[in-house]
Amino acid sequence: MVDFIQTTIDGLSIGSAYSLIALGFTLVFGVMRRINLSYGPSIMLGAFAGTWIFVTLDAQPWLVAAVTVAGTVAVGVYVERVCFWAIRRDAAIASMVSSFVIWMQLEEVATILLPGRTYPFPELFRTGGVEIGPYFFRMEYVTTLTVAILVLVMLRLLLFKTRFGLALRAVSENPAAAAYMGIRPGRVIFRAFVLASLIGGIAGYLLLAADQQVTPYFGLWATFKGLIAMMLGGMGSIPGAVVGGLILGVIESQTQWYLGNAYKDLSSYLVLFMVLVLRPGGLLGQGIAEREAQAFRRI
Amino acid sequence: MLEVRDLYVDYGKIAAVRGVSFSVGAGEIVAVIGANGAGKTSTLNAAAGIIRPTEGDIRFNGETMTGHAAHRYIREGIVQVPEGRMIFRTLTVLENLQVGAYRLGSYLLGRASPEDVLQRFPMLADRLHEPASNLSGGQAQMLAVARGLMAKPSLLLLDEPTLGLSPIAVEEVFNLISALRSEGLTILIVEQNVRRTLAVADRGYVVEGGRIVLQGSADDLSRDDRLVARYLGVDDGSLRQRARKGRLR
Repeated sequence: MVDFIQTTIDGLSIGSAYSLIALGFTLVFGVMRRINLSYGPSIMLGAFAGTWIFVTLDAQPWLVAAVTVAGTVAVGVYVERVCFWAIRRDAAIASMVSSFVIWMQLEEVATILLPGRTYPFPELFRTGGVEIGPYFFRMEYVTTLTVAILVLVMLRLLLFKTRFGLALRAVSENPAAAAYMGIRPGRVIFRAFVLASLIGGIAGYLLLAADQQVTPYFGLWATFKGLIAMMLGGMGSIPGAVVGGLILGVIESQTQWYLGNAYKDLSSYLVLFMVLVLRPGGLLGQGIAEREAQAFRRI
Repeated sequence: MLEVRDLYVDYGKIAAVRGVSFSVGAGEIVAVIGANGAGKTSTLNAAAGIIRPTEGDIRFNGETMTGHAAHRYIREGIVQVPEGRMIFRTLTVLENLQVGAYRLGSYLLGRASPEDVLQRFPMLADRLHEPASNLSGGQAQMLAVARGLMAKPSLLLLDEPTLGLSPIAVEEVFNLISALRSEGLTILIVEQNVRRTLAVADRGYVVEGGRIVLQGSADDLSRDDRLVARYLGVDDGSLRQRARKGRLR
């Protein structure tokens, strides 16, 4: 039982970072109904910029964190302009395909910036962890969980208490109606992208600081984890992204503990498959799935 | 107040509006009448800056508006309540109203207070925190108008405000229009319910095939033989059906 609870705690901590990445996907999908495959690679390139100043200039961890987040936002803006804004009137699939192309480009840039495969990534705190009763809390995980909760609270305030949040929710539902009320959907989408990149940069930093290393494959990994968590919870649903990320984290750490590392990914794909068969919209995404289905029936 | 001259709107090769000129004076209710596909909504959308006209000149209080985007029009006081209501079903009633005040709002939401507007809509005031998807068709139309009023318009454009509503709700909409007019709001309305519309309007324009074919005071129009034969001789329901089948001409 102690093992089970301990692995659940670890799973929730890593899962909270998955939640943040899923939130990035879901924010963009929510406002545009488009998927940004380059999201993970954008975070990877931001992290490479961070590790670059760490390796070459021996920068402080907080500066690495700042550069990682700022780098991710800069790359996110680039992706938005090229893959989304420039072809906003074309079919949604065009954005997905071009975001895949940009993904390759971003990986190339990363390998040019730092030609090796694996680079060290600095952790925020050097202390090992805290023990409470039989449970051990790794310091990185405590940080991840705390920051993730903070980001979620801030995001909730932003979405429900500010004018921008209202505009974002209005555009998510109906961009044409929002335009009648003087909201500029293009602008809201751009800001949603910046917000998603900001959250992604934070999540990327937390995950990499816990691993203490970064490789160019982090992009692929982050896109996979984020998409799986989003689909588990429900496409375009913000609570869904949070729940999906946490579930994914717990499933992974439980399978890793009880069945071994080899089954970690297999079990999460299996759970995703079952969820999508039973609830095609994801756990909390039924509303959106139904609305989209209705829209298709109308056509 | 609003001056539209030689307005053309094309959608690719399809010309929806072909040289429409009209004006709306302060305090007036002006009706635009015509069958489906005559170019009424396109005219209205162009006059509200939602779509960019291919050609034409739009002036509001003497200022050129042509080429500006919708948010500029709203800032100047031109607000459109779109066809089909287009309320945000996932947002609450209050949030829908706050979206209406988007252009006036500050960064925090609390300040966009809907009290003035709500005095007119007690039914909405009771349901502020319910999702807008709970509202009936008539209530949703009231919310759509209330949302438009939140932007503090000086000219309100109403596109088919009674489409698909029950007779009681239609009555409420026309009562609301009369009430708004008595408070000095200027209204440009597109409606299929020609008889009721001309009863509240001061002047009207009849649009056919993207052109204005008839114009005059509402009294004259409701006595005009051609208009009576075409739009008033039959009840509105069968008119709509015939218009849809293209047999109206």
